Amino acid sequence: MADRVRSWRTIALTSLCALVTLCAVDAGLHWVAPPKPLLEIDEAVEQYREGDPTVLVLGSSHARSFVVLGRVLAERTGGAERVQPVPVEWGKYTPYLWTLQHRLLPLIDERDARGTLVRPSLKRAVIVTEWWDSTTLDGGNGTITMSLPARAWRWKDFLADLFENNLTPYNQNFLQRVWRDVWPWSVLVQDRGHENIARAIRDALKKPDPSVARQAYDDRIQMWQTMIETGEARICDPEQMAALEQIVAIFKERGLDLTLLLYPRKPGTLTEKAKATTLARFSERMKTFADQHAMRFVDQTWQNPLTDDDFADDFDHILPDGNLRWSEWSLAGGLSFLVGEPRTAGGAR
Amino acid sequence: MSLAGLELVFFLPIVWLLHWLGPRRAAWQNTVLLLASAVFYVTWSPRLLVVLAAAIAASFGAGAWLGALPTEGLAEAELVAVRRKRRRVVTAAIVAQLGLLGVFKYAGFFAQSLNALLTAAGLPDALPILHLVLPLGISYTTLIQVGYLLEVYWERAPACRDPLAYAVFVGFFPQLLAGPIGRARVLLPQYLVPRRLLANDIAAGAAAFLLGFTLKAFVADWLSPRVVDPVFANPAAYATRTLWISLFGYATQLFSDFAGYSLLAIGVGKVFGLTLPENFRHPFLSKSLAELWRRWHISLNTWLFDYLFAPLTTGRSWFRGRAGAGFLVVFLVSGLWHGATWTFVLWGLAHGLALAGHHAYDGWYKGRCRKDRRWVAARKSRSYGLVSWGVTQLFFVLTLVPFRAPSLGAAIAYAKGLVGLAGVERLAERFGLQAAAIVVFFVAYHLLEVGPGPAWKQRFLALPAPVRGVAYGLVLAFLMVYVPLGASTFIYAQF
Repeated sequence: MADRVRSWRTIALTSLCALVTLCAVDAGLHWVAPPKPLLEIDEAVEQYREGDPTVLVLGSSHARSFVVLGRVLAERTGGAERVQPVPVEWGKYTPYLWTLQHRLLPLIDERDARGTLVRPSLKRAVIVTEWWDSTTLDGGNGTITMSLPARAWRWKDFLADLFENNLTPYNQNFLQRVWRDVWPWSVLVQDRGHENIARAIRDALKKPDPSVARQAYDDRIQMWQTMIETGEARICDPEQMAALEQIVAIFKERGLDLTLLLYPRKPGTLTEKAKATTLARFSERMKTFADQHAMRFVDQTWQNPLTDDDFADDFDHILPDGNLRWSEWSLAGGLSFLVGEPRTAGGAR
Repeated sequence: MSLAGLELVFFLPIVWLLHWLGPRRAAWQNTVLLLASAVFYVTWSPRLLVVLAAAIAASFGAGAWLGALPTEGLAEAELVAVRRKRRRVVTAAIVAQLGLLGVFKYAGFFAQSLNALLTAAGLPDALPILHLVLPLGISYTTLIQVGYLLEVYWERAPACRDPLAYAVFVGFFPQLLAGPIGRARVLLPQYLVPRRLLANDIAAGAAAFLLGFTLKAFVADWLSPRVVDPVFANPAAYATRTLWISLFGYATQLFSDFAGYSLLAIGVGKVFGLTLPENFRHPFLSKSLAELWRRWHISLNTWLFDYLFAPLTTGRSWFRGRAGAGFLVVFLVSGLWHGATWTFVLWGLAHGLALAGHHAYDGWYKGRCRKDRRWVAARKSRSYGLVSWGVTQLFFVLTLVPFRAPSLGAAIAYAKGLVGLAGVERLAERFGLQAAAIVVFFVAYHLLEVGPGPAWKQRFLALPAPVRGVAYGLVLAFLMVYVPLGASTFIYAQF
């Protein structure tokens, strides 16, 4: 019995020390790779619930640029215009639609006991997109990389899918999110999949050779250029366009002023060939789509004030300073209507 | 669900608490484990759970029938009749189990092979090709059940009278996916008695789990997409050096994946107070093929040698006393067990022939030793050991070409590339800190078993608990940073 007690004590002491070490390393890594909190669907839905916005922005991760734009707009209008971005990471139109139907509509349509809308302020919707969002769900490679479960599902959605399809790599993504939610303060947990810590450690141990870094940059630029140039055949996938139709129909039923915005791309990734093929075709298709549905169409793909330096290392997202410049520029130009009254406000709502 | 997946973090604590917080009775503990195993199975395929349940019921019934036909104390005339009846029962039960495996795993292979022969002979296809979904772990559960039936038939183990214990013995979730293949004599008695929660078991289980997770998620899952998969997908395009790197990478991946999974299973078993059999014992230290197969996938190889090789070479058939032929049969069966393709048959044939050759050489060498003791000294020398080790490992690694290649054509292309008839492509990624860490870990893992290694291990385990705790914490932090997100499935789950 004495042995057993000592053994349990040893295990407890070892576990405690391991835990303390883990926490200490975690705390230390906050200095090496500080966490970068990003707006996700859950938080956006909560903000919507509390905020009663006037403008709903639905898009992929690019919709996060509207956090900054929303701040600028709120300052300019004295808080009268409230923008609520809802970023659906790895966006395509089918997950946008799912998020709208399952997470946002219950809030948009929520009425009190007298039948009055609980949040009556919404008058505009902006759909932020780019050519990639309109391609097939598997991006053409047979693997569904888009992760709606990790971003938008709740337990009931996970369990429903689990009972229907068993445990799959797709619905397992939901558990990854739950795991992260359990440890919101842990940089070790939050970094999983981003590899920021590994990168920071590698750079700290060995300063990257400038010529190697330059070569890697050029290689990635070329990869992006090739990807965009060869994307023409995959744009406007029927399934995705049908989802976009449904999104627009849902917004129109509620009498919202609609805008379709083509998000800015990093200039270096855009070749003349890409502008003349994939991007031109996509812009034409979207313009036609917007005209057919009486939507405002704003194409900022390369018509914007941003330079390569305004984009993050992923070549895809705009850095904070760039977002500010882009917001000022947009509100003075293509998105200036956000400051004024909508053209189809109220209506069916 | 897999043992290295995140879902286990949600699943295991619930099962563990239910198991230990309930009454300390075998029936309760087995019920919890059986339900947990069913849930585990259902996450892969609920419909095929029926197939597993039917197989377990059939083997349990056959075992009980054999148990009801004892041979002890019978008169000669009665003994002959009972033995005949027992033989019929065990034959029917084994045929049923192997038939199930055959239908699901091999029907397509044999139909395709026969049709190819008929087509080559200018005749029309005769057999339809069935595309059946393979029930999870059927290769493992079949061997567990056949082993049990043979043990009961040979009266080396008593027939199990507790259906609950028997069902858990066959379908316990950690071993369901990829073994280890439990033996009735060793494992079944553990399910028949209540287990006690012991600190030593928890410590041993956690240690095995941590080591298994490191091997599986840190080593195997890192190597697979970077070093192995792209090269085996298109071997003709890659340079000779890259093909060699990829082949050694695959050997490392295969070991880490499978040994890692086995350790995960053993670790999970331990925290429930159960000791699952050891499956790997540092096979890359082996200096002969015979030794390698005593260290690699131990539970399968001991099964094959106990239930196939031994009856074959000691029975009354032509194989009696012909060990070489026995090796050939065992490894052809082992090849087919791994998969119903000609690449696995080729792999089995190569190992069967090599073992037969090694057996003959061993006999010849022992003869020399008897005549001249200098041969004994030569065999004990460091250079002999080094050459034996090199030849053994090189042969093993080379035979992984057909084992991993998707077709015979791809295997031939890969083999050609290894001797210089190769392309020019190299691996895209530049390998840095993590690759170095993997190599250091893998080498250290093996070196800790030789020379002063075991003493160092003991010295570490004797360190004060806080020091070890800090070390484990650092290892966990390292794994959290460097283990790829979304670990892949286990290679051995497909067999």
